[in-house]
Amino acid sequence: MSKEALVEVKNLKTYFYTEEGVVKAVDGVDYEIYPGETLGIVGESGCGKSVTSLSIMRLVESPPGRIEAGEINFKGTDLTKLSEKEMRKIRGNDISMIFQEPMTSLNPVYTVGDQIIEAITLHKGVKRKEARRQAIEMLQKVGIPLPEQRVDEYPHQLSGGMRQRVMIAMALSCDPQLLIADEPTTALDVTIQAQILELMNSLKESYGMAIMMITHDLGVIAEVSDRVAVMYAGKVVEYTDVDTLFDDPKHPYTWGLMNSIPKLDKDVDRLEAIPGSVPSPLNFPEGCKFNTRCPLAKGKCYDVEPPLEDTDGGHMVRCWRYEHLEEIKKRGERIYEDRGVQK
Amino acid sequence: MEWKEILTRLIKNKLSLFGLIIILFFVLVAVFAPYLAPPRSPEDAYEIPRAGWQVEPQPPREGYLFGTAQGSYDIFYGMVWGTRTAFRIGVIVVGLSSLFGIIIGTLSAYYGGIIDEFFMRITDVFMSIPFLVAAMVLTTILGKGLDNVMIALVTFGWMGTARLMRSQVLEIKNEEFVQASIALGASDTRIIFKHIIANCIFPVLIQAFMRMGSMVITASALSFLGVGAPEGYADWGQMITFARDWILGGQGSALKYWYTVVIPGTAIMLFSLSWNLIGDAFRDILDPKLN
Amino acid sequence: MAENLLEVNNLKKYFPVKAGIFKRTVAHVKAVDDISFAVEEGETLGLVGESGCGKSTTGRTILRLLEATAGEVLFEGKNVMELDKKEMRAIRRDMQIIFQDPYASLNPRMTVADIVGEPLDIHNLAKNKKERNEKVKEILENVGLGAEYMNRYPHEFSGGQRQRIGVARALAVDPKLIIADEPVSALDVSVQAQVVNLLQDLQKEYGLTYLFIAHDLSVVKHISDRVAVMYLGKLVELTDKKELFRNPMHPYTQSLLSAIPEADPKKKKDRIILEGDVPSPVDPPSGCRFHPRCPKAFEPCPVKEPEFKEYGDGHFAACHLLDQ
Ligand SMILES: Nc1ncnc2c1ncn2[C@@H]1O[C@H](COP(=O)(O)OP(=O)(O)OP(=O)(O)O)[C@@H](O)[C@H]1O
Ligand SMILES: Nc1ncnc2c1ncn2[C@@H]1O[C@H](COP(=O)(O)OP(=O)(O)OP(=O)(O)O)[C@@H](O)[C@H]1O
Ligand code: SF4
Ligand code: SF4
Ligand SMILES: [Mg+2]
Ligand SMILES: [Mg+2]
Repeated sequence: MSKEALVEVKNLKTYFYTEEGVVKAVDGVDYEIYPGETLGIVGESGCGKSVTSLSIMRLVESPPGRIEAGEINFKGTDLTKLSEKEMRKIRGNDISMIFQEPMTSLNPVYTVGDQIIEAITLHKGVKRKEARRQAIEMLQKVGIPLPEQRVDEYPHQLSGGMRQRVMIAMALSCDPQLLIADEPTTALDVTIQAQILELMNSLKESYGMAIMMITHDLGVIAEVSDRVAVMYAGKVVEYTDVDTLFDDPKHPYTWGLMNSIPKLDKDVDRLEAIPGSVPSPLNFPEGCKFNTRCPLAKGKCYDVEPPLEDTDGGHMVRCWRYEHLEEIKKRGERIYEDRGVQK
Repeated sequence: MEWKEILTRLIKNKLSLFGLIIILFFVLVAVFAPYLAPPRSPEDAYEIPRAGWQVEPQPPREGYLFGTAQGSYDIFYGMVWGTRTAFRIGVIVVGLSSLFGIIIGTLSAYYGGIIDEFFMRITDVFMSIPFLVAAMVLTTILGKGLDNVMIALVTFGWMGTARLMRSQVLEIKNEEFVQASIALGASDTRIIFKHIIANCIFPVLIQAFMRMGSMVITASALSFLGVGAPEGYADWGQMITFARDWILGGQGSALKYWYTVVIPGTAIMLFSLSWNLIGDAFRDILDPKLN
Repeated sequence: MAENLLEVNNLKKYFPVKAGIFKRTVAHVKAVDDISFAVEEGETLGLVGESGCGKSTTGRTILRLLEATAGEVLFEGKNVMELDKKEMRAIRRDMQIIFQDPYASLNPRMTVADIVGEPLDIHNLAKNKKERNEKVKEILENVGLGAEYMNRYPHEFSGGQRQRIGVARALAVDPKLIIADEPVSALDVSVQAQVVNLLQDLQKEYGLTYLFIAHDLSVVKHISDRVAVMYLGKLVELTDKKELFRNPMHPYTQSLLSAIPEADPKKKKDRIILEGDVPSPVDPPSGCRFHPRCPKAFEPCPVKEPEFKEYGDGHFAACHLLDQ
């Protein structure tokens, strides 16, 4: 893309200093988000998705957490260098965030209206009456029925899907340029999830904001993203546009992920399961961090961590042997061979 | 494995280490009492020897390290052998009342319904009576003496544990691993012992530590109120009781009889403080796991 | 046609809602409200539905971990609801359960050997400690865990490994029926497939029958032979899985299928986006419970409850449209 990036994350490292040792939650992550696009971030539990986004918001709990290195350039300013006061102006104004659990991120003792109104008066400096009008308008936009009535209700009076809408309304009330959505639908039912995803897509179009969509669900990624970063153990392992990623996954992990989930339109006898489990962040292996589970791992994989390399036209892959995977794919074989019951 | 970890962490924490050392000191005193303060006759070891028949306390001197209390009772002897009494009261009272509490709380929560209703009403009744008054009345009825004090303290001391245990069990009972065990066809006894009690015991243990300390204070208070051990019995409460009439000092000096109060007072305070420190540290260690 | 191993007839489970200082029952959560189905020997019946629709309650009521409000459950022709405590304990050998949460379902203070050995102890399946350990080892190996794990505690394992321990415990009694209550929902995506494959392997090896509960339709489709769809305490559709995905009859099933986000960016589905949220089971809508959200609702829907009946070749559904 030739447009200028809205956010440019460069070599971000966020570590946690815990009693058991240093948790390298985010260990050298790079990506860009352009205005008006949705960047999907996908990866398994604990791979550092939330910590990356919290780092952008500068909301990493500290101690034990610390942004160790790297830059987060937002419209040319490095957010890691800003003071807390300067950062507060950006949060909620230029960058908003919605969280996975809508109940814990709404204050139970205030009405939803109060919470949205507070956000609006704080950031836009308008009078309360005007803020209330805007809040109701916002609730209407996110599809809450009877917004004049709902605005005076408390969070517990709303259902999960409704609360998530309120969170979105609050996040959007100040016209942010970037919306970070950290698993906004994981806690919701599929039919409600479909509502929310539809809503986010239509809002993106009408507001022209950028969205960073964090999820572990490849289906959600396929649905909403323009480009995707696949994370594994604190690092981006594959990074490209969404069509390329699903057509031609080049990292063995991405490949495994795509083949381990059952498809509605395709019947297979057995799923291709990735063996083993994600290594503990306290105890990452030497070399490529996927080598404990990778069927292609060989030689160098155990000693040197591969770089995130452009394989062709912006398809970035972090693997020494991705060409090998190509060959296997051409032969139409499975990579994750069927070993029956796995040891 | 778990116990080892808990112990190392108790030792690492400065406050609980202090508590542990003090308790250890008292344990040693209790164990070596016959050497520290040899009794005149082994049968009446708990009988505090008297230096004479003087009513007025006498300050520390040769042969009477801590001085003598009202009635010429040897304070040192009383303190050393009173340590045993303190442990006995603490262990027996806390042990028995916790046991009753655990049984009642567990049965209530596990079976629920009418059993729960019944036990909880009884608990409410017992709780509505002020503890000290109830214990005093019961001791008065049963008669003076340490055993009766302990009976009274147990009778009115189990409700806290029962309530705690009940709420713990109610929580654990619905855990999936308990459901799994029921689904396997396990008997009630098995479920209660293997799954439920094993997983609720820590908070009760913490509470027991805290109560160890306060029990000794309560027992002393009863002695002070005149329903405790018979006169001359080696018991810290008794030692404080001896000081009752001399606390205000005498002619010329308000601090004249300091040793009659300060020595037993310090011992009681240290003893109960130590248990509390350990209990506190214990809670801190276990808290993240409890949540 | 194979024999029915399990038959559920008009099963109901209501939870009382208590309120006020006297804890009076003011209403009921109709978690499971008159459902009937059968599971054939050796098959996998999938049970899907949104959160709170009563899937777990159904599973637990069948096993009598919860006492049913009404209805009967026939296991090999015997009504489980009428068994006394002792008979019930014995029959539990044949019906097992695997739970959703691999963390909550294992006692944190027991070693793996004790967890997997517990069923052997309960039913006296091992003569002595040595034989018990041998058996535990064998079962652990069957689910892909080595003997070196025997003396470890659950917290030392990953989610997938813990779920295997849960499976091992259920297998130890050599059951005929396993109710798997969302066994993979809590697992990492890459680990889900391991457990799904394991369950399939074990089914083949031991001829197990599964009632597989899930909210993820794609997993259910992969593992099941037939699928039952539940909405707010009721079954709305039940049929062969191929038929269900090719020809969903009930409007709820149709919207559910269309709502699943598919891992294929090129596919643009025609979504049926449902309005509103799942209503409360305390005071379910009148008539057809789906009518406030149903895009096809018409006159009889709010007043008359549709009957759950067969519309050709084992395809059951409950919708007034189908009678037109
Ligand atoms: N406050 C903290 N202290 C110590 N470690 C932390 C803290 N917060 C996160 N971590 C660790 O950082 C790693 C990355 O966590 P993160 O929350 O980013 O994962 P995630 O990808 O968002 O996973 P999930 O899908 O479960 O939300 C994890 O290993 C986690 O244990
Ligand atoms: N012990 C209980 N007491 C009261 N209500 C209950 C109890 N257990 C379940 N319920 C209610 O019964 C309904 C069905 O619950 P159930 O757990 O069976 O749903 P589910 O379909 O398994 O949902 P999920 O997908 O979230 O697991 C819910 O409304 C729930 O709140
Ligand atoms: S670098 Fe080696 S171990 Fe890592 S993903 Fe590539 S082939 Fe596998
Ligand atoms: S009965 Fe009516 S409301 Fe119910 S699913 Fe059918 S059409 Fe919709
Ligand atoms: Mg997260
Ligand atoms: Mg459930």
